[in-house]
Amino acid sequence: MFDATTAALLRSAPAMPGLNPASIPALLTAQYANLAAARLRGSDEGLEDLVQAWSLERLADTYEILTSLTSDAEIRRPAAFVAGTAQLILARRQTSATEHKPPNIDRDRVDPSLAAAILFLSAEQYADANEAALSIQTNVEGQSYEADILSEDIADLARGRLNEILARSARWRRPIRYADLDERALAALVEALISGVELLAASLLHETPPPLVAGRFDSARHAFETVMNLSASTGESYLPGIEGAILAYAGPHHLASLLLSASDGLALASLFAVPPPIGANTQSWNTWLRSRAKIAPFVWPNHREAIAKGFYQTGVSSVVVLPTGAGKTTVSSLKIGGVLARGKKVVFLAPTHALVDQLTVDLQEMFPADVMGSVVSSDFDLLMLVNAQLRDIEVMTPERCLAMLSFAPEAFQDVGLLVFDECHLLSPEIGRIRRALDAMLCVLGFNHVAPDADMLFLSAMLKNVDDMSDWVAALTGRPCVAVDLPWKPSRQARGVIIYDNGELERARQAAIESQRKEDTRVGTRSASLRQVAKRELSAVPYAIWGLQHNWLSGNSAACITNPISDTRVMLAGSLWETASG
Amino acid sequence: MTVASTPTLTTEAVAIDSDCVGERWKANDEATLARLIAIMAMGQAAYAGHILTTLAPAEPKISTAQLRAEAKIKLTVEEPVKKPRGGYPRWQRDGLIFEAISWLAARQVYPGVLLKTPHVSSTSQGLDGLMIELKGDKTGIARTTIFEDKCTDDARSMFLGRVIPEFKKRHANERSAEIISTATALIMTAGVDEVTATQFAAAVTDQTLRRYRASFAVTADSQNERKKLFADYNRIDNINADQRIGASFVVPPKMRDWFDQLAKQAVDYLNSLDSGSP
Repeated sequence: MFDATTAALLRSAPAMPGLNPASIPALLTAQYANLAAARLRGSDEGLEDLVQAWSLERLADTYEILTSLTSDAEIRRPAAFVAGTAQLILARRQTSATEHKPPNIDRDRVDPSLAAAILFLSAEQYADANEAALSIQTNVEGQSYEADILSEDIADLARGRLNEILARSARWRRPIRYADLDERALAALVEALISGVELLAASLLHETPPPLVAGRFDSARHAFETVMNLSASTGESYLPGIEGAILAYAGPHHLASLLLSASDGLALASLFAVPPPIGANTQSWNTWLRSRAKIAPFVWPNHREAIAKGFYQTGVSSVVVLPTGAGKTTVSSLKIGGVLARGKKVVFLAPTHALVDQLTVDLQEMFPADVMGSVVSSDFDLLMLVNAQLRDIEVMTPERCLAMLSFAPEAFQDVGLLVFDECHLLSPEIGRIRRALDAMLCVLGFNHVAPDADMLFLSAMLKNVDDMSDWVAALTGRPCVAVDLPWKPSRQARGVIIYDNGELERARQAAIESQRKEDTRVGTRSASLRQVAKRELSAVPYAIWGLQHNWLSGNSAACITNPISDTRVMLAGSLWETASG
Repeated sequence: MTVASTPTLTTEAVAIDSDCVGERWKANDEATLARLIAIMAMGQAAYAGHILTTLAPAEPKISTAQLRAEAKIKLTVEEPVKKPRGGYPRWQRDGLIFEAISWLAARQVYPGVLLKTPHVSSTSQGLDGLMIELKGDKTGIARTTIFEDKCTDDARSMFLGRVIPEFKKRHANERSAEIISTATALIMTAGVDEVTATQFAAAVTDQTLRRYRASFAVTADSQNERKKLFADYNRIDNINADQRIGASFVVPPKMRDWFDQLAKQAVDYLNSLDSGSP
């Protein structure tokens, strides 16, 4: 269910009594498989006991408490991730509609759906946060107006829709007179948390603080800390003569603690934390960041690793390998943005016309004409027009690029970057020698006509990243960074349907016997399978689930098996081919 | 030489049956009890006032008289509730007073525990209390106790129909947002060391450290009655008898009248403060 990087994050969570964190990835996957199928069976006893002792509910509760209690980021990040993941799996269960849904936020509680979204932000797992936000029901009957607003804000924060938070900030506040002091105090605490989220959104977008919040708190952190300090107190000063009292608004207190930890992680993940590359116009770089931050304000941890390696720096080429869905286009946009901010052009290669069209649309969204004045095009064709110019970003196939390099090498003079998507196309090993040759000639030809341009190679399946990177460095005569990040944003448990071999053999023998009997009864031998025999061919389907990112752990398989149906299913296929003799 | 004063409440261990252990509480000094309840209601109001003053400094200051008025409303029955509110429905008002008594009893039976001071609950659902007992050296949690405090005319049905199902959910470690928030607030207020945070978190969900305490206001005071009230406690299974606590607060036969007069004494006490202040 988890890639190697994600599994390592889970394994770094603190141990609990009877719970070795090394087993957490397997435990969560087993729990998930348990939900996905009927029940566990045939797994090893140790895991079964662990599943008994550490239910998803207990994992979620325990690690959520720990996240709230600790301010040590090394503990908090994995703890938040364990808690969030356990809740996300639980949320897939059908919830009974009969029970009245309690408020998301009240004096003593924070709904698990809300907590999970914030926990994933603390864990810096933004794709999971986005998914968790989908389970948040923002308006719950019977909860306060402020609880509605904060629920909406947290859902938007988790989905990276920071502009929505700022837009809401300008319109939501209206005087409400709560009769009770307790209710007013609760509303004031929730309002302060909303103010904190608004300040956080403004800071992440590099916008000025919303007018109704500015001046009341110095920062989001200040707002959350204020709520934490106010919402739990020893009672000495309020309860004269009564010792040891504790007064609390435990819901806002816990929420403040979670938001505090999330805001720490978000500050690191801010797109604005990415400095412009050397030679880039800072103003146009920031203008572009601001437009990007409206859509994708958080830089995923894998992209931050690539940034830390300087992959997007001017004069540096790179080979970036990311799994499908891990944001190849997003990561390449940072390099492209930097090149455009230097006033240079970009050639983007994609292997098929369908991909060229798709990427053109994607890049037009990432680099709107009204932000940097950049035009993304896939119409470049010098055969049709004399003196045609390359647009700011030209998307094309390697073959077309090769042709253009021969016809009009001068058009490539002010190109600062060649991006090669699906660059494994360069390898003859995939069996398309002609395409590999054209692609290689394109890269070599480009380097010849634009020797100062950087190159960015992207792939999800390249194996020899370091070799390729060394080769690019040798070709360009400048540094080339190898970036190979296995982290995936998606959590998929991998299962394979299997059948019990003994059961299959018994079904086969029964079918053969029925066929022979029927042959004898009818008096002719049927070449095809008779109905009576077909009916014998059934078995119970099982699923075998991999508990780790790879199926094998040393020499033994890390997997569990469970029946996925209580009833037998009919089998198809030939009876005789598999029969002996 | 100090003279040991009679405690406001008598709290003692009593026998029930082999499935659970019993506690019996009784009021010794109603005037003092009423005064403590008044202070608790006043304390919640003062705390809310402090939060409001801190977060909304521009708002008009909340006077002591306002705080007392607020506390008095908490201790007054108003059915149906009017706007502006002059009191609470009986179940909420008596519920608050009973939770206050349960809180005082817990502090007396288990000194030094972490336990939130009760406030008026907006619903009859949810957690009535989570008590955390720290180890002697405060490096960890010795025990946690989940409270269900019920002030009802039909304690037996309440025990079977509401308390046991609620305890079962907690015993199955179903997700409990209230436990998470409350435990976090209690532990942080106690000032827990970062290093021990992990043990604290684990202990809150550890069933071997868990106890359940169901408490009722009762009018019948005998082992036999307690036995009938708390029968079937063993539906919370796989724990020892001393992890199931049945607590009885013994009140005179006219239970609602008794709560009424106790509340009146508490309100009178608040009124006496009013007349004494400028």
